[in-house]
Parts: sequence; structure tokens; C-alpha cells
Amino acid sequence: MWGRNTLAARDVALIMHTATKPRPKAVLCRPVISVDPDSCASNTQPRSQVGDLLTEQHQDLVNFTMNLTLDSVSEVALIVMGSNQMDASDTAPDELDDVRAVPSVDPGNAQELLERFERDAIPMLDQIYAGALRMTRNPADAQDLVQETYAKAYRAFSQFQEGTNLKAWLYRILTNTYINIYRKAQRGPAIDPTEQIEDWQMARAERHTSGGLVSAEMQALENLPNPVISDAFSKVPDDFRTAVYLADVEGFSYKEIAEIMEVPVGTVMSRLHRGRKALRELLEEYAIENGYLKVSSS
Amino acid sequence: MSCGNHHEMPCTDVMAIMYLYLDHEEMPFERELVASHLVECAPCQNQFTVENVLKTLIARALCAQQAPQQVHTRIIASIAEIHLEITTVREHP
Repeated sequence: MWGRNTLAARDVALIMHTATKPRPKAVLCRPVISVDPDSCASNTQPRSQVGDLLTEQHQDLVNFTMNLTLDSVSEVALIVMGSNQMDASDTAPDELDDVRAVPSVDPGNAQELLERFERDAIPMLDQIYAGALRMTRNPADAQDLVQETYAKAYRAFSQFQEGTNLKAWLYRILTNTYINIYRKAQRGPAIDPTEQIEDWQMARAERHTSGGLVSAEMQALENLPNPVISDAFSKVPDDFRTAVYLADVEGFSYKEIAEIMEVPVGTVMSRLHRGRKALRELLEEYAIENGYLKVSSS
Repeated sequence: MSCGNHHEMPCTDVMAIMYLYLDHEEMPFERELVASHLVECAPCQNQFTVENVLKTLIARALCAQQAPQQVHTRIIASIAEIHLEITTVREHP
């Protein structure tokens, strides 16, 4: 039987290809969720998949489609195409958008692609959303950003090489989309011209103080509540924040971050250095103001 | 800057590659030099420890939470729609 909320996208697609034939048995996609022990998103539970449900608005379309007595697939296709036209033009163009120009997909491949996407990319949604939230600092924008990212990723998924780093690939689309959508209005180059490759080496001149304050500072930092750190982090400039997030939360290598952010490795190092320095200063400031860290005058 | 003591790798060089070391991006030959330096030099070790604490704090505080159900629903609906789109366009090029 067709459960209202158990329709899979592929089932709908199948209906359309077999509109005049007996209905196929629903095949639900239950993805294999692999839990990465090193990932902080390992607490995520398997949730609904593309194959499991469609939202109400899509359910309407599906119900409508299913209730019609259609003579051919083409009629269904026309209806579906019509319903999809409205959202085809409101997205920010970028390098991945040209995949829209190549819509023809072999049905067998499309099926396989959807299954792979559900199995591999959808389980990363929590992590990608968290990353988007750190970029946009706003849940509504983060949702839009993730939707756009996943839409682009799915359209371009046939170009993704299986076996390479999918999370990095998704992050690259995320970063790219973020820059295209949210930075469009901002003027000036994405890369700060003062950002020099050698910048990170300034660490050598700035650091290396005596040990006394350091251990007090360390303890103060460790006692800071998570929301304070999160709040301070959101004040770190965009590019620095993203670099630090990718390194310290997602554990990407410098090379991977360079590829995701499309900058040289030296720039990644510079951004990490600046981002961490900025965050440390913000946290120290907070710790002092709120009594976590006592500053002695000696 | 230096602690004044002699080390095989000077404090300035150690501090210059502090992040590389903490991010596991140092060269293999540097690993040993930094490690033995840190055993000998408390000031450098303190700096490394604080920075490492900061890294841990960031990971702890910003750890990905589950996205709201609404986000999952939206994405899944969007993918379903795109799937329909790309599979049906094929029928009518």
C-alpha cells in the first residue's frame, strides 16, 4: 500500500515512467549511516530521507499526479515541469550552475545517483547545516544556504568522484554558495590584500611570555561556557572564522581547507592564525571582564 | 624572543611552526625537534598548551548539533523535486 508519508522520490519518478502500468511496490531507501567516531556529529540519529517522505507541498503534487488518469508519461512530465519552473531562475549563478544546462540523465543512472546521494550526502546534513550556521550566524539564512548547497550538490553529483572526500566537496559548494549569495552585495575583494602568506609567522614575535599567566589563562579559558565561546566565535571575521571552523571542528587538513576556500595554503595558515588570535583575544577579554581571569598588576 | 637557553631548535623557530605542529601539519623532521624542545622549554610548552586548549574549546563549543527537523524536510523535498525535474526533462529534451 502507498503510505502517505512513505513515498520515495524515486517512487514518484517511477510512477511517472510507468503511469499506465501497475503500480510498483514502494521501495524505501534506508541509508546506511556510518558514524565517524572522530566526528563531533556522531550523535546524529538516522532521520527521514528523500526516499521516506515529501513535504506537504510536494505531497500535493504527488497526490495530484497520482490521482490523474494519464495516458502517458509525457503528461505527468509536463505537470511536473510546470511546477518546477518557478524556482529555476532565482538562484545565484556560480561555476556549478552550468550543470543545469545538462538535464538529461539516464534513468538508471539517476536512480543510482539518488540512492548514493541519500546514502552518502544526506547523512552529512547536520554537519553542513552546522557549518552554514557558523558562516551565516542566522538559522534562516543557514537553512537557505544549506538548501541551495544540497540542490547544487545533487545536480552536480554525477561529477563527484566516488571515493574522494565528499564532505570537503560539500563544504566547497557551501563556501562557494555562501560567497556568491551573501557576499555579492559586499564590495572589495574576498581576500584581504593585507593578508600575506608570511603573516602567520608573526606568531614568533608575539608569543612566548612567562608561564605564570599562561596556566591561569588556560584554566580561565577552560571554564568558559560553550555559548560564550560560540558568541565570541561569531565575532571573528568571515574568512578567518571559516578557516578555524574547518580546521578545529571539522578537522580538515590545510590542503583540504585551501581547496574548499579556493585559496593558497599560505592564506589558510594566515587565516587560521588571525582567526585563532582574534578568538583568543575576545575570550581573554570576556574572561577578564567577567571574573574568569584575574589580571595581576605585577 | 627566546627563553635564553640553548636548544637544538631555537624558541623562535618552534613558535613559528606552533600551529603547524598543533594541526599535525609539521614536517616529519620537525616533529622530533619540536617535541624535544617542548620537554626542555617550559615557556614554549605553556604557549603550546594554551593554544591546544583553545583548539579543543572551539571543537567542544562549536560541535555540530542536529539540524532542525524542518531543515531535513526542506532538503529532502528539494532533492525529490530536483530528481523529478532531471528525470522528467530527459523525456522531453
